Amino acid sequence: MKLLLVEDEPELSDSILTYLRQEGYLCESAPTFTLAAEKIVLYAYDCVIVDITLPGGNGLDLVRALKKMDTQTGIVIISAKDALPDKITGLQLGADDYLTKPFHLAELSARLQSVLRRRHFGGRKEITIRGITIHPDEVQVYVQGEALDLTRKEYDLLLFLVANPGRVLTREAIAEHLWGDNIDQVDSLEIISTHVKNLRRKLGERGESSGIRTVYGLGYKFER
Amino acid sequence: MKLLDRSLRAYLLYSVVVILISTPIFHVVIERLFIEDVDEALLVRKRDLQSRVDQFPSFQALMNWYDVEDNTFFRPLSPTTPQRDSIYDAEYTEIVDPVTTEPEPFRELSTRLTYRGQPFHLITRISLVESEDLLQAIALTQAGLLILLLAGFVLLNRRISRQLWQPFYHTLEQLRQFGVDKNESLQLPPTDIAEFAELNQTLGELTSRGRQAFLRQKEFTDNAAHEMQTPVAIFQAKLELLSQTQPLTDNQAELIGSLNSVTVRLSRLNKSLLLLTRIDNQQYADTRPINLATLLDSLLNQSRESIEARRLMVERTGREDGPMVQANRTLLEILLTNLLVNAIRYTPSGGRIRIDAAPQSVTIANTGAPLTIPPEKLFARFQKGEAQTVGVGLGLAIAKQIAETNGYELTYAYGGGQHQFTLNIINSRLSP
Repeated sequence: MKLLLVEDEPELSDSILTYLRQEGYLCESAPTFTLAAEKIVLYAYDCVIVDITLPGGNGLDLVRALKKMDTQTGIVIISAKDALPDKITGLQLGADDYLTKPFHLAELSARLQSVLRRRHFGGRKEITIRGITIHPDEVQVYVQGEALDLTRKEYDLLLFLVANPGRVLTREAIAEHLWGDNIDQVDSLEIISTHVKNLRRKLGERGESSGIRTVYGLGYKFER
Repeated sequence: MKLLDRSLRAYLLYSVVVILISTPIFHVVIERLFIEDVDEALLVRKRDLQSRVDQFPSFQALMNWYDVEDNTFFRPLSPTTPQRDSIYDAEYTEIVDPVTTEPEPFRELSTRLTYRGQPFHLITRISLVESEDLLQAIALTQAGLLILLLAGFVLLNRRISRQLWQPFYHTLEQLRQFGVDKNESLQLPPTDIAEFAELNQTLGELTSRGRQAFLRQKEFTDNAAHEMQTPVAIFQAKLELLSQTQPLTDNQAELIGSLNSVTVRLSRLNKSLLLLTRIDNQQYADTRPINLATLLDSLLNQSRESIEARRLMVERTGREDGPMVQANRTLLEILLTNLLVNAIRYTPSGGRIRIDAAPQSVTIANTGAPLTIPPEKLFARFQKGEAQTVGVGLGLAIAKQIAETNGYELTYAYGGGQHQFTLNIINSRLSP
């Protein structure tokens, strides 16, 4: 999978690149509008992650250019602007997703995978790991070929964990993933631990060790 | 008292004083002038008679002559005959004014004339009745004119003043409607009165400076919150990378964990500040009809996990659908969510939350101990209850701000062990 990251802030860009490379993506970066505009014309990417405010231009123009070329490239906008009109414009232009800074890298990774799954119809759509198979289109989980009954939040949590295997997911990242902008959820951390407990129990009943490990003081980790 | 009336009163007072003083003086002066005139006429008459008496055939004929008006007499010399011209006021009881039946006043000349060298006594007089009438008429006319002048003065002054002060009242009205947070700047029409032009110019500069300062501050808050997002994003990303490093001791993990939760709080705080600026900037312009109770019910549903985790009882009373409003959906969701989250957060475990919908209001009430902060500070920014410090302390401030922006009334009351927040749709832009 080949990605282009268009982000002018070097520190943030480095962090994102490090994280995504660890995930096994082939990443290139373009810190300016001009460079990014050149790259999207010259090379083909599976997905472009683009910041809106860039030196030399507006990231939304890159989205327009990409859409004009009629490629299958997925587009994820990352912006410090949490303004609804920007979000709507971005999505209307054909971006697949919109993330507001600051975001968790695990969240970006999960969103990327979702975009790539939707874009590449030919590829595998289901995710299999440790005897667990997830069909995102059906919103269904199978363990050893049998459907597992999960609540929506449990399903979202499992998908998020599975999307970031072998990585520590902080409780805050999980909370934001589960409740999105509604971040002021009360007692979200306790609710997460309840969901994890239930998820472990349901997977355990099927004789599948869940692979969800608690990282003391930090969060959870899904072992590969 | 209005400025107009005060200046007018001073003018009127002055005019009355002038009239009261001037009328007697005027009367005296005119009377004196008239008397002088009459005296002159008497002397002229004397000269005239002197030149004609010699035409009488004899002294006796002269003495027997009388004039029809009985105002001139010739008499032989007597001891009472004065040596020189003597003019004096005289009244005769037998001669009365037919109108007033009072003795008629006269001016009388008593002197000597000569008939062919022989001196004799002349008495001639002029009635002053007419002159008194004239004087009265003059005084009345004068008074009338003065009153007319005064009345005209009052009316004119009032009218001119009203016209003159028109720009002032206009400016006042404009100022009353002016607000630094409103979009339009002060519109003051040009005026040719120097003072008002200067006032308008000064006010224009003052308000535009105030507006500029307000806009700059707003822009600063927006920019500051905005610029903060990037470092926070970097910090959060680096923390996440740090948490992926191996080996990671429990101690390190716990430190990263608390750093992470602090970062998230910082980011939420920032987002809340940005939200407040955006509400101020009225960046949530698109509105649609929303049923408050229905929206509240769906938000309640989303919070079910939190409610269950705290083992709270939810009671839904009142109408099924509440007030219908025309508003921005995102903002109303934030408003109601903040009230709901506040209720959930501050209800002790096992407590009760009550949601009530009425035709013009929705109410969110929850059981709990009385406030530890004064109720009037409840909606202030960064005010938090003693018991918990989870939130950033902007939730209720944001709720209040959104309510005010939409012209709703958000009130708090405590009674019967219940905190009660009521959102009143006093001024809905769309009735159901």
